[in-house]
Amino acid sequence: MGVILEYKGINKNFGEKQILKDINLQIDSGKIVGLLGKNGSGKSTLFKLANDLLTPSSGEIFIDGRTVSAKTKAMVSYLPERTYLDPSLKVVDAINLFADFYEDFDREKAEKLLADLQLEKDMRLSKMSKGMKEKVQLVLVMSRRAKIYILDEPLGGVDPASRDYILQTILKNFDKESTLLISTHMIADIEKILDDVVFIDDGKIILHENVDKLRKKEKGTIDEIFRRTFYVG
Amino acid sequence: MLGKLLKYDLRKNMRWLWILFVGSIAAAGITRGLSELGKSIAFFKVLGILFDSIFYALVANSIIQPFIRGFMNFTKSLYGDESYLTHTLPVTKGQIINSKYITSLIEILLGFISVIVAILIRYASANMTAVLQMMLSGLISGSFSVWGVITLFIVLVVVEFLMFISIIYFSIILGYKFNEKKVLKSFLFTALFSFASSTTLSIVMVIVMLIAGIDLSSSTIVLTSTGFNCIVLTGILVYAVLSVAFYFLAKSQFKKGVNVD
Repeated sequence: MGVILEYKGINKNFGEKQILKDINLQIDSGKIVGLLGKNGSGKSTLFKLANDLLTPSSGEIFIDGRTVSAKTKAMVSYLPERTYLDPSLKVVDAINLFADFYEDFDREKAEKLLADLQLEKDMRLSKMSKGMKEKVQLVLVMSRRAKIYILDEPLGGVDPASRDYILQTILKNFDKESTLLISTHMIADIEKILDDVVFIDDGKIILHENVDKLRKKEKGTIDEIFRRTFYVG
Repeated sequence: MLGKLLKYDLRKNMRWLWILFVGSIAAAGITRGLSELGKSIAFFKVLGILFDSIFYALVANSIIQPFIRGFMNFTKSLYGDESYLTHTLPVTKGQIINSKYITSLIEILLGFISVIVAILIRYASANMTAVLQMMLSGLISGSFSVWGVITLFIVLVVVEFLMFISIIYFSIILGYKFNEKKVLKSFLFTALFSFASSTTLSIVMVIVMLIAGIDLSSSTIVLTSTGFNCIVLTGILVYAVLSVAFYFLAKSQFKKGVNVD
């Protein structure tokens, strides 16, 4: 089991403000890893750096041993926390776009998932609610056979009734050889699927541990450990 | 991959632009027909005046809109919400920027072609060449016919538009490197580079006019047809060189990376 994603001495500043401070993190392939932290702790910044949406102030990022490039983008399936599809597109246009650009995109899988989630292919994204758009994006992202999936708050705008289905969708469609990096505040919902957990606070990695070992060591669920670690009182 | 990017960029912008292009040509035909009918029936004359204003509005927009839509698409696609898709596609930064430039170039050219076709439909007549010959008589030399001079003018305007597109794209890329007031900084960079380009053009023009023997000390500059053609060709050359220079500057800055909000 090799390292699929590596942050090496990463610092990220926005003007005077330092968002990430000397991040050194290695994510092994084949694992489901939860990136957990308070709002503004640097989770999304970490994800955006791996997806070429931000440029590090210093340090390097390696994906499967390569620096971020068009080749690494072909390996990464990223779900950001915002809706990024052109609203004038129909769902079927978005499917065509993904099929055009990503060789690993499975159209049949996408169509099946859309049907399961009762999303119509001919519907325009502009006519959809935020939650529906997020579901469409999740379907597109999970219909790829990528080496690494990076999901930033995939359950954020989704109704509780669909949450279980979406978690199942993520798990069912996630290739066991792949890596899944997920950030969410709904820790109780996802902790049962996690192999490893990373806690980030104020731009620093404060913990990177196997979930079972951490539960035994700290005698509690990940949700409880998170609350104890980040207690605001 | 460049082909695929182009397909989506063109499809997105042309969804609205083709209506303008076809509309200006259709309006030209209708206005022409109404002006012919208006010679004998007053109602059609009034209707013709109304359609004339629609025709001019469509023609003006066919020139301006490709330009505006070009940089709106550029900002939205590279720095707005849609950038989360653009930057995560398995394409190089060079391919992304080339696609934006080629899309703008195609749209500006299509805009000009549709306007030329529309104007020809609206105004073409048997003695059109003769009328133009008379209007432009002072500018036509042995090397350029009346249509040659008009083509030179069109090329000059197209190249000037391309230079402004290059300046705007470069300015947006620089402006969005900052953490705050990105739009304002992009605007200031555009103003600065436009001023620098105009100054460069003016200096080169003065040098060319001196070389061509044009007396700049006189209060009225007498321009020969050869001198005129020389100035227009210099303008085309300067704009083309500046377009290429700003394109490469934009590309090199873009390749250094982005910081999307």
